[in-house]
Amino acid sequence: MGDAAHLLEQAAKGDEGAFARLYDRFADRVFRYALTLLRNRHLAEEVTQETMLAVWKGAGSYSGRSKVSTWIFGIARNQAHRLLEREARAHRRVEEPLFLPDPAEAVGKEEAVSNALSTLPASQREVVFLTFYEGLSYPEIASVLGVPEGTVKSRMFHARRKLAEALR
Amino acid sequence: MIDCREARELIPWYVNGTLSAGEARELAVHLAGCPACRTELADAIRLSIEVKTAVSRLPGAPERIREKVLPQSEVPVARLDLGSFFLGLSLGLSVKGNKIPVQGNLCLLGRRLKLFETKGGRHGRS
Ligand SMILES: [Zn+2]
Repeated sequence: MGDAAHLLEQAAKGDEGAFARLYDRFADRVFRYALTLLRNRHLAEEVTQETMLAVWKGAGSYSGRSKVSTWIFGIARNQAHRLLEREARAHRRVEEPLFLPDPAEAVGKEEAVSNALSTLPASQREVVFLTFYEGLSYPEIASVLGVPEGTVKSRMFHARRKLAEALR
Repeated sequence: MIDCREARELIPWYVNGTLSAGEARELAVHLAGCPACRTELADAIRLSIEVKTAVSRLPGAPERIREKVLPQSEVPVARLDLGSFFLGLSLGLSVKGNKIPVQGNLCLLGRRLKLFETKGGRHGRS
């Protein structure tokens, strides 16, 4: 990931090309994270847009102490929670079904996993996403979420137990 | 030595390869002597693959976000100047992303006063 840190450094100096490459590397991942967390396509778009704008504007404030991905997912998470609070104030329902069954594809097993994931609380879902899709370590996840490492482990522990039950 | 509870807490990050060397070693020792935790490991490997596949099937960020977020540098394509340094009128045409803004300026004693600027029409996908 040293490469991403270099791109971020260039972006901080105003290099638009470097930022474009950073965007291409992270936008889909941020969008899928937001989608996993919020289960709302419209809000996930908003999170992605705000996050990537914050990366561009705040590139200079990246300290280099964490991985670039950890820094970006931390921003995305803050944006997601800001939107959740806004939607809650407006009494709007956030979660919507995302995994519409596609009869054209034989995806029985994947669909079962997606459905099982959607039964988890968002706080457990994001730990599963960051571990298995993003490949973050538990200390990195703790830093993205701003919770103790033990909390990350116990959320994963409960998530796996629930998923095992749902998939049995 | 770590017990089964501790071992099971670490297993997901053993699967994604991010445990510290010390933790990975301790877990490996435990797994070697504990068939129940080896089953847990097999389950976690399977879950990891299934989650990756399921998330990969989610859509990526729509192109319209890229258009909104990426700074679009202006490339001047045409410029029309009338008059002199002291009093003049200029019309500039440039391309900014997929937009073509037009800018009109009035020059008075070397100072440029912006008269108008259009955002330019959008075309293509949005
Ligand atoms: Zn054991």
